[in-house]
Amino acid sequence: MDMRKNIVLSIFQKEMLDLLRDKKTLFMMIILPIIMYPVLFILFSFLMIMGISSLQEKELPIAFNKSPDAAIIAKILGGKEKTGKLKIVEVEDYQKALEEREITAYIEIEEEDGQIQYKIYMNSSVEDSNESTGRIKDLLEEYKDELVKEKIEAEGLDVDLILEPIVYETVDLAKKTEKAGYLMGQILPVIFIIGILLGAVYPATDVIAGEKERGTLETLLTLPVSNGELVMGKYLAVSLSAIISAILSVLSISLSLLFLMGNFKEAGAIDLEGINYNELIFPLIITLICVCLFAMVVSAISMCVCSFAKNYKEAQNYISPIMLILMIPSYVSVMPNMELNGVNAAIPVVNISLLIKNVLSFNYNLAAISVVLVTNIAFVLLSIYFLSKTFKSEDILFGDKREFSFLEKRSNIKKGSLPTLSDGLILYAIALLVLIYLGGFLQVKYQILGMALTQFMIIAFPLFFGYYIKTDFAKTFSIRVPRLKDFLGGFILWIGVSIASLLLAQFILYLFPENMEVAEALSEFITGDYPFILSLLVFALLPAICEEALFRGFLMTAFKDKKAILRAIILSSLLFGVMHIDFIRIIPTTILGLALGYAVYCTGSIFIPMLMHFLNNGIVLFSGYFPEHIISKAYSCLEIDFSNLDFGHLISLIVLSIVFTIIGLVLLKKPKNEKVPGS
Amino acid sequence: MIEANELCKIFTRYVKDEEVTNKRKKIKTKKEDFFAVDHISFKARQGEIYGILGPNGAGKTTLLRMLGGILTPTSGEIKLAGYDYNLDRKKVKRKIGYLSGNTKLYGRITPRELFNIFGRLYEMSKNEIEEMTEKIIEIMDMKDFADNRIEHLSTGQMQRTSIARCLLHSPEVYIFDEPTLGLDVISSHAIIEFMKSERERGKTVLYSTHYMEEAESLCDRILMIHKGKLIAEGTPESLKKESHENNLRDVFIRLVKERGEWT
Repeated sequence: MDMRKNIVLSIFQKEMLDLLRDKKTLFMMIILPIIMYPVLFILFSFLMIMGISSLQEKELPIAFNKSPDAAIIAKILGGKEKTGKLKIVEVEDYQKALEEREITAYIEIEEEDGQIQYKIYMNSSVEDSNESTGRIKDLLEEYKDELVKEKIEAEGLDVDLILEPIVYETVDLAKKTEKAGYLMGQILPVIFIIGILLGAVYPATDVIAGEKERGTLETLLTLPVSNGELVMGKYLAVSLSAIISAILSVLSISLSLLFLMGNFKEAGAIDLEGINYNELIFPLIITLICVCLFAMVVSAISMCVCSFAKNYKEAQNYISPIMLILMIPSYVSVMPNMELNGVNAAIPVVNISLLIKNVLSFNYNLAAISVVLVTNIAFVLLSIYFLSKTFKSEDILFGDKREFSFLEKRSNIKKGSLPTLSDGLILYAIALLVLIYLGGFLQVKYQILGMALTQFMIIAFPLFFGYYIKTDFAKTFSIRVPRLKDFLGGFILWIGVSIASLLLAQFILYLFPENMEVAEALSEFITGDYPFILSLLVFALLPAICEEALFRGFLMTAFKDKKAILRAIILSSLLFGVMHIDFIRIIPTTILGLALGYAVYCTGSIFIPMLMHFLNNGIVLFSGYFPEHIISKAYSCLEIDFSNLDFGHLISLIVLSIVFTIIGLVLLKKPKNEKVPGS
Repeated sequence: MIEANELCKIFTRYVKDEEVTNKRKKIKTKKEDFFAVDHISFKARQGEIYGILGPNGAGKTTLLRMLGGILTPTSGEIKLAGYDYNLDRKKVKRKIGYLSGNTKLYGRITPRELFNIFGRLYEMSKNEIEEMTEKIIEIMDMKDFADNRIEHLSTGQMQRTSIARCLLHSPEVYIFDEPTLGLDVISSHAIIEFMKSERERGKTVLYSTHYMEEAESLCDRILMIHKGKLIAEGTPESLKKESHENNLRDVFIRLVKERGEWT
């Protein structure tokens, strides 16, 4: 994928210039999100207040079959301010009068065995009728209480003791922040997702279908610019527009809410004191990132759909149903008791909607948020892949040059071809999604067998892909017998780096203690009731082989495209880290990945990182099973209590880590002038 | 200099096919491959206007799009100044100025902005872009409207801007696909004069039209195509001589009739 940055940038700037000068796009992207929310909110609160006060002031006509008790008439005529007024009128046919809305309720009074029965006839489909029925009920209830009290007093008893022998009271312990957020959390995600969709759709139509309709596409294709550069430039412009409009929506919503809550506060409906706004910052940042990723996915999808259209009209016809499909899942936020958890965090759209809901109700779960983040990264990669696929078809826009080997028929692929950067990214995205959806399911259902199956899936993808592109397996997967010195170097480097990553993991846990639960659940799962050998096989040996084949084998080779070694090592270890999903594990795993990548680069042999990976997982298992063994005791020396820090211990561990790492790096270093196969 | 060798382009079209089975009519859509350009070879030299003639649907646009590096040929090879299209696509495209009825301009930007963006996409330096922009605005007499949005320009002004866009990166080969189609006398005259002046400067001009008279007076050599196939090639004089006709229009009609393709 040879993309020239300045060319992509120029295309991006051109698209932005073009978009920002289009009044329609400008309106949809900037003006609408700014205006829509305040107008909606103000209208909403205005109508609410209007409705309530107008109903309160209204005199609602009612009728009786015979004159009621004088006390009741007095109450009706007195018509308290708070409950609203009623008016007694005379009617002949009460049914007709109700139907014609001359009266809002009709009360039939009958006496049976000394008990007076009030039967209220009303029409529940008429708002006024509901309201007046409510008022009559209140009134009768009050009247009843008075009668009861009178009787009890007449008997000479204590009214309070008889009427309320017990007293109860509920005390709401929910944080005030939760209450406030709960209100917004239900409806906001829906509005918000619709806002993002609108923000993406217009620029996408303009940039793709508009370009075709105006006949400028062929002009663009006369330029010495590759399809990839073209798509990327356009994609960046559409994504940026969607993100801008999403961020504007957030700002506009927040300001409107502040205004609205100010109103409620005055009305006494809500109590906002005691909200700790600092608590919000971290989840808000993550949410913003997720929202941006989501905007990018939506942009890619809309661009894909638009590229099939010849003009604006067709594009809009194609895109409306797609947008509807994306919109519907966002309504889960309205469902009560729906909260973000490990399962729904992997469902697209639903996860964004619930994420916003949960963050707004100050009730978030970092593990689930990280799943949202990771799945959205995967969807961004996947949707960009499909975008470049549709954008490449000559039928669609006379494209050229294929960048994904997968798009080629197998019979057309040259023997011994190596995977490209795009191949690597797309394979990773697919593997990640399968791991999250299918792997998660398998592990819940079949436990340890599911773990093993997941590992087989991880290795199956690169193997199949390698077969498909007729790759040179020895070269792609760095299959080569290592030298003895390489083993030693790998071992020592592993010691150094694993100390560092362990320290880091503990430090992160200290910073985010919420994640302790996740970490404990994981180690419990691993050291379950399985025999040691089985655990060792499934949790150490299989991951060492399968994950290394994917990351240090296939992906390293794919990213190494044109010898960008540093890029290959960093990218593959970052993806390696992300694949471990939990926040606490991403950074330490990435660091381990760097060492593994370096090892395979220097030795040209996949077996070295496999060994290191096996040792890394194996030692954790071993110390879990045999805590009394000398090795386990040595391992437990690496534990540091950050809340009660022993500086000497920490510094000595850091020094130890650095020394081992340096020795390892030196030992592994490629001798000069020796060509290492596979690099 | 541009050289095409056994150039082919196959398109797929969908043909509706009626089939009667068991007294039931079935309409099937069948896929059908056809040659839009069928094994065409030629060579256009420096300092000449090379005309590609043919009726509508002959494959002129497809041929020129392949020569402009916009479409990929199904088979065959093209070379421009020794560079192979398959190997050095970007280098080749930098040497081509391509203009057709379909290469419209962005309405919402100004000519000056257009030159700036396109210059950067041609990887010209900042100075080069500035210099060329000033020069072109001078040559094409665009001072009055260089800072107006293109959507507000008149047809003639737009046409001048389009030509200016082709000039920007000083190409060696111009490819003009029916540049005078639907233009008035003044605008088409300007384009013809432009092609002549570029020929004087030693550039290659490839030019397609179905106006035979225009081609006869302008072109140094001519390629006639019909239904994707080459039917004749040579100077206007030699073509007329060979078929004993007085003008290119009659040459073309005679050749097509001889092939039994006149309907």
